[in-house]
Amino acid sequence: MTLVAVRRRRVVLATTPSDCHTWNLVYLQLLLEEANASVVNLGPCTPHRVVIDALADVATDLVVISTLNGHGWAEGQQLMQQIRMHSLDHPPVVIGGKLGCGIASDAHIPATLLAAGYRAVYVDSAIVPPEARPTREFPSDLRHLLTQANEATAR
Amino acid sequence: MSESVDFHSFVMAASRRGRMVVQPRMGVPDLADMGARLLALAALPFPTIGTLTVDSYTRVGDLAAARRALLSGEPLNGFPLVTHPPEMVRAMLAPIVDKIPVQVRHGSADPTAILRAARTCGITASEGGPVSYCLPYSRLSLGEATRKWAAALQEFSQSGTGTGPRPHLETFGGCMLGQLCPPSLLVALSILESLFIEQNGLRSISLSYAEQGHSGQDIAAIRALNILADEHLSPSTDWHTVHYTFMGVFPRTRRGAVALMAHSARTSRLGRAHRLLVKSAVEAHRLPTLSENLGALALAAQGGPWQWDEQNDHTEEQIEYETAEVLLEARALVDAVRSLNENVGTALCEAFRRGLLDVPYCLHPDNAGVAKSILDSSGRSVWANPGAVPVPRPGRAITVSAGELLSMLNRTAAEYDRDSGPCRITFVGGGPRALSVLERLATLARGGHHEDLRHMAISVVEPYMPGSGRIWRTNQQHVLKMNTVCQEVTMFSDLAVAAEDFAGAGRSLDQWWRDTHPETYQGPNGYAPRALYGAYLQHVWDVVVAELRDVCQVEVVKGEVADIQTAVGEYEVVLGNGRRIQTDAVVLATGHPRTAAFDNVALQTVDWSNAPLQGDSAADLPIDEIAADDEVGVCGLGLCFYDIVALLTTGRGGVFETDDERAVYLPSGKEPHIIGMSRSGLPLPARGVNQKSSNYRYQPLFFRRESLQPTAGFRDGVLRALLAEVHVVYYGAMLRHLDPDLEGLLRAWASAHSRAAADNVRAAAEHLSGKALPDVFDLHRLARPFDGRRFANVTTWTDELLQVLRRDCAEASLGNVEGPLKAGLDVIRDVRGTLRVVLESGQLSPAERRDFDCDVAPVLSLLTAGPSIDRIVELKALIESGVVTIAPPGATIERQDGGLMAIATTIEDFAHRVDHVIDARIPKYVSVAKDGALLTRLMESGTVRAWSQEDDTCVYQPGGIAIDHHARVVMSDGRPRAAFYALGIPTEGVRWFTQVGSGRPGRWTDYNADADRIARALIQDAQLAGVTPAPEPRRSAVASAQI
Repeated sequence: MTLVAVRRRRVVLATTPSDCHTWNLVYLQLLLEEANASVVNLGPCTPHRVVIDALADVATDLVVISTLNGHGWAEGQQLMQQIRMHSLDHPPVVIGGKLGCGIASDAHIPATLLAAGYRAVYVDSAIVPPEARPTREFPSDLRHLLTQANEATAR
Repeated sequence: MSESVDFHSFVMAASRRGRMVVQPRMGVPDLADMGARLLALAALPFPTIGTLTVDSYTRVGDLAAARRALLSGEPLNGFPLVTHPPEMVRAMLAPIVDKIPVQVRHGSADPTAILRAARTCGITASEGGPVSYCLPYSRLSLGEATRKWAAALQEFSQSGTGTGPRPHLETFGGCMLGQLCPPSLLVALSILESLFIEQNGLRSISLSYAEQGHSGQDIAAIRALNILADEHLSPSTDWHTVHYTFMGVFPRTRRGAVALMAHSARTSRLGRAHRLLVKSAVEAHRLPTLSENLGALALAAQGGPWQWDEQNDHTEEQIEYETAEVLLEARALVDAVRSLNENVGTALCEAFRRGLLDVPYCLHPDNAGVAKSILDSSGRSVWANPGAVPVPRPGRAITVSAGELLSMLNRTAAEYDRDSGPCRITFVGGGPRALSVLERLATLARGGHHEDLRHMAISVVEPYMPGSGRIWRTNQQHVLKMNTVCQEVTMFSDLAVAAEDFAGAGRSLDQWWRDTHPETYQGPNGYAPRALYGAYLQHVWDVVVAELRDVCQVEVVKGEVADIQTAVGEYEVVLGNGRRIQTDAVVLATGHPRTAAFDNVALQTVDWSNAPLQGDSAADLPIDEIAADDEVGVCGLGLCFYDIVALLTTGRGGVFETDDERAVYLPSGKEPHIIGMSRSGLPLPARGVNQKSSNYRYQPLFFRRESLQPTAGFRDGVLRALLAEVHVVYYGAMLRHLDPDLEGLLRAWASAHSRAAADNVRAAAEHLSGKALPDVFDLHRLARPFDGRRFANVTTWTDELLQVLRRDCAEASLGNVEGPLKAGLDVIRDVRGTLRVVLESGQLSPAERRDFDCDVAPVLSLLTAGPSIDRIVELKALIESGVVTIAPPGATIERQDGGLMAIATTIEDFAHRVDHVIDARIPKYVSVAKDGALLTRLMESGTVRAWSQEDDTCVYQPGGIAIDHHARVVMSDGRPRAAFYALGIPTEGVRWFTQVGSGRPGRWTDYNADADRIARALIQDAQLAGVTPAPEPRRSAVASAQI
């Protein structure tokens, strides 16, 4: 008989420094906990520093950034730069929400953020045309990423 | 200088007159703009308070960012109060503050700088609180926020000048996270914050409560707030209550939003709030404009056109009972906190530390985070688990899942949106363009817009056949063919090609033809009969409409639209039979107009009133009126000419007998004699045999968007590059046959000389090949090979014509990749998208655009839009058999002795009596003067306006109607019309080459993009479905109901 111990996944949940929305964070925390993750919710207006420190603190399996105030396209890139500056070996980071200001150039956001190093980008925008959307469906893909993390580290 | 108005006195004065004061949220960065908006509020005929909402940089204290944004013109989401010079803010406010009070609204956990700046600028009213602006948004500790607020309030309270307006502060404690908070906690926090404010020196206070969504509970909460304020605040403190219209997830539809706003005003009145902070109908989507704000204020102040829904109504007795319940809990909370410490600030911090106060779902580390709330089945906000909060515990602990949380957050919005009725959308015309939009709608419904589509009710008005329209209708003769090979045609927009057809992905015309009509299928390069394409279109229509009908109502109305009238907030589509369709949105997709004959300049001088036949699409001609052996003059030698010839020959039983090289026509005896004539005398040449696969993409070397310079003039900056591109393909194909490596060398040379002209390309090609190559080909000479020529007689003319046709067949049979000439010309099709971008960029002057439309486009079209090679081979045979005669260049029709004669001035002996004249030229533009009544009527009434381009020297107005870049039609005054879109042929002018009636497999073309743009706009319209007073019953509407 083989014993398989599956560690609870640890997820760091945060938003961007200028974004004071919280319902999205409350919802995602519940969603992730329902997927059997333990969630560190860093709260509204998360400074980049606080995210970096949380990652340095304890082994983390997934970082989820949720933002609704339209600055996510810029602050999301800055955050990823910071994360990469501190560790090349960081856990996968995903970002989602209303990432742009609802203007035509929003179409480029998913590609830009993916290029910046995000594992997945979930867009909530009527502006981004279907061909510019990553083929990832929230929240099933987020659950999938968690499962992947489980399989990768399960012994 | 007159006295500034005191905030509280203003509110109470209105209250004594029985009026509730209304107030918007409003902040723009520019001083003058802000001043203008406040002045507009001051001018309103009902009591309104002015608001300065600060931007989010100022809110979080990032003043450097606010200054940078102000200097760089970067958008700010509010008024940077601390950054503007105080004397300028004072000057801006001077004409306002003696009429209405102005309040600063911010959201800052540390209000020091903002309250100080407000005071310096002479503003005496603000809002907030140590709990309400710390816990929900800030990373400051509660203790720190309380200290900052206490100090800032003490400073602010000193700003009164004895006789002037007193400093006023409004609690924000009645809001807390906007939704899902039990009202008793909100009332208690508002009371506690008002006591904190009072303790720190202010004597003029307002207490807030934010609507939670259940009107009975909300009315009760406002009443409880009034009662407790009276009990707790000192008699020397002046106070009033303020109600916030729902601050959670707002309805997305306009009707839903307005209904919620109206209900909210009613809740305020019944709760006896003195003031109401309004939201606008676009709350769910963006910041409101000034006029949207003014509209919302008027609705709130005057009571809107709401229908009071019985279910939401409450008896006075019920409200009293509910008030007592809220009071009981709120009083217990306030008393528990006050008993902790004399100092309210200290008591508040201690209460949160102990969990006596615990805001459900608040993430702040100083909030216990144990208490949870839910919406019960009635929609009331209740405790699920109060934690340590001293209120009665529910019978059992209730946990909330993520999905439940989401549906509770969306509950109010969903209820109002559901009640708001569908957004009615009417398509005028049901041909391929309408189908393209419907296909995108159905695809978007699959891709996450299902809910939005559920709010639509679609009508399509089509006089002929839904899907195919008139041009592609299925009951036309199969001798009429398309001029695009079937593998380049699809109506499914998605990139993937699926085995099964559904909106978004499905079979191309090629695949569908092979599957459904294998007996006539001619391979991927076959030209399908138009009727067959019509059948394909109808098939796609069935697929798409069936899918849409799973989601929303789709009605297909057989009829012709005679007029579209504008009504208050809606449109009325008037049908020829008098029926009227009320609609929220219109999509004008009328396609090809039925043309009046001979509106072209060159032939207008002739009186055609007695001509037996008039021009139209070949399938619509009363061709049966032409008897065998009649003489038929056909003006125009384009695609329509080939169609007419086919109808009158093979369509009447004639057959071609073909061997490898040539064809011989065996007449049926029913043919008339056809005389084709045009200015050039050249029948449309053939398109090269297709050698490009459906996913072929040409990589241009010269004709690239970034290297074109429209500002240098069209011919120099654009056409030159096009000709160079044509030549590099032409010579490339030529070199390839000499040595396959040479073409690559030529293209390598070209990519290094991307600004070269056609002449240089030839020189380079000659240098590479080491031999002289045929002369540069001149597009105009190809299009007008007989220009300036005279012919001795009909025989020499016909011999020369046949020789030209033979050469064309030879060139075409080499193919559109291997044959140098046809490959060179075919590249013009490949780069058409870029040409369209240039034409639609608005960078050409009106004179250049006219030059393009009149001189360049017809040549490009003649040389690239040709029929299949078979048509030319057949025409040769028909000329040889005498059934068809092509008149020499410049032939015209004259009236002689009461009859009509086809006469050519370039040959002495060419004169033919004709019995019938057919105008077979498809007009480039919708003619404003003569086209179908609908567009003419719409232009006359100013509903739409003609597209025109003008500068100092020239006004160019060729025909089509004007649309903006969202595809909305433009009114006569230049503004776009809301929810009124046009696409395809009627928009030719703004757009170019709109006669394209299909997408291309595997490509996102402009055809798809045009449809997608409108589909997405319609989704937005459905989200914002226009609120309209119930339309007056009209006589005609009643009449049509009886039809």
